[in-house]
Amino acid sequence: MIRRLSNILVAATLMLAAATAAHASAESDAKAFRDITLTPRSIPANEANGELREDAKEVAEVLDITNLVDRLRREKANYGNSREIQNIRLTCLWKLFTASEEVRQVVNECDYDLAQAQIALDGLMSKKQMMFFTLSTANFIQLGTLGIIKNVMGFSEVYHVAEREVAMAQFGTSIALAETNQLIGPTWSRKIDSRPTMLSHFFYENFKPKDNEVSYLWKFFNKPCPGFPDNLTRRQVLVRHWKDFGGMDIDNAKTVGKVTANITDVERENIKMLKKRVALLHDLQSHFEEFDASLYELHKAITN
Amino acid sequence: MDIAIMKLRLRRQIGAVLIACVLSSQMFVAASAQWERIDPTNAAARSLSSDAREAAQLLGILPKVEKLIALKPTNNSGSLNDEQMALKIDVMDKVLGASLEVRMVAGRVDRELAWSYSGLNMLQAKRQKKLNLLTNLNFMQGGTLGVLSGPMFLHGLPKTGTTLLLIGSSVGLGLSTIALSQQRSGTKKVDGGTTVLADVFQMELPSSPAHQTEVINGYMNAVPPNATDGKTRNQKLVEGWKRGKYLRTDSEINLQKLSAYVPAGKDYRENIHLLQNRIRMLYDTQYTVEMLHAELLDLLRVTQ
Repeated sequence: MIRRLSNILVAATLMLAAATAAHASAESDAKAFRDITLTPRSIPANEANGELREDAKEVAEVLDITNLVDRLRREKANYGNSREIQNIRLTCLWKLFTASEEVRQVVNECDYDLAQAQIALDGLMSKKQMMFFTLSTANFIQLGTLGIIKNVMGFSEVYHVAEREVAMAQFGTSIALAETNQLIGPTWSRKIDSRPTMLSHFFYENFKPKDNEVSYLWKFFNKPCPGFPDNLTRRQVLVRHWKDFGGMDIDNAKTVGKVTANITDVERENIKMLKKRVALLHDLQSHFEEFDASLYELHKAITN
Repeated sequence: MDIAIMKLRLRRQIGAVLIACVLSSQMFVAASAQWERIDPTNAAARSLSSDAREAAQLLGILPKVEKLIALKPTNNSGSLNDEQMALKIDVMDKVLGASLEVRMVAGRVDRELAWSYSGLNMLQAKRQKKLNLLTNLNFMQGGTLGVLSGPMFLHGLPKTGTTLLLIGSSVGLGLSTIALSQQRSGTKKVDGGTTVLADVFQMELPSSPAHQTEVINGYMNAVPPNATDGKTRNQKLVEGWKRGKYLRTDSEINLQKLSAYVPAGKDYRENIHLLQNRIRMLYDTQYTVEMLHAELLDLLRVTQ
């Protein structure tokens, strides 16, 4: 009997340990997507050997100027006045400038989406807050009014019962108003009246930006992200990141529709969803701007 | 009679022609003055402004810029010789590099702002939720105990009824006190990585940054052109924050918390007030950094 019990205990302990380990590994896997950078990390040893930084190397590939960059780096010490070198420099600068403008364009789109979301959120928040103050004030008013009536009744022994009934009505109403206040808070919502946000390009595979085929930036986002498992593209890494970082339920079509303001799926948005949208848009914008840093490093590699 | 009328008409016509001549000559003078103002080949217009000079110095291209300006008037055909072409590309190259550097730092600040806002919104929402809950709870407990006390009074138990009301009032007082204390509560762990403010505060960091920003560092540590107080941009920022009470103390811990820099072995927490101050400082820093764009624009205009 004792042996059986001890066996059961040992088995239970082992199972518990295994479950804890699995949970810990799942948690650490999830945490890997919490604070991310989408550009490859610099490897100082390689750079010391004269190699191009990893992020600059990748951008040169994206801009399709790897050969030109190599040539410029070889002749960087003295570009001179040769027309050929100047043409190569111009081509590289042109592409860098184009890519930089692409970042400006998407950042501008994010700014617009953020502005729309903030306006909608402000509207709902002020309505919610106004309702809270209105109901609280109504509560104070009814407590005050019925309190006066009750106390006036208290001067006469005749109204003793009525006085207590008024008091009970006063307190009952107070409970009702407070409960209404507590319940009504999270229910505020509004009709979605904005266009699908930039987030849609990440959550919906088929919702591609119109310059998807020609844009260097989108090419960069469609490439596998170094340092992440399963050859995930940057788009996919970002979606995983939002699942961990923003608590986004990516498998729920309704939630995704509300957060992305995609009105083909849902028609109303609430405070919670708008807050999530703002957080994700801010995050997306900062990840778009990461591309600037890679462009900067590439430029630094070819400038003399 | 006819001759007299003809003479009068002739005089009038001559007068009109004279007036027209005077007017047109004045217009010509005005137009040529205007032309002088906007003519890019005009030596005065093409001289380096103090802003453009600072930008050229920061980028290390002042001699090239001066040479380009000196070469321009000798060639009026509009076509560039090899030397001019190489100089122009050099200038454009450096300006683009600096522009990318500004964008990169501004992008970094955007990310830090997004993190700070995310933390701030979370803390504020939590605080608001707590305060609303406490208010509603107060109404509910007061109401419930008030309703319960009613029958006590009606059934000849005034002492019990009064005790219940007394408890209600005491709990109400307690909850209100808690609500008051909650108004200044709410902290979270410092996260999101060290911000650009560490550079403004000239803090010694154990690791070098992911991207070197020589131009921005030089710009922020330089005294602005035409400044009379001899203070650098960084010093002016800090001075402004002290004046506006955003930076109340120079203590190392406060500066580290504001910069979101957590030294090894320490565990810092941030509150709403600190996050609000950090946001203000980040915006100020971003604005100051982006002002370099104006200097770059000046430089481009003078060398076009």
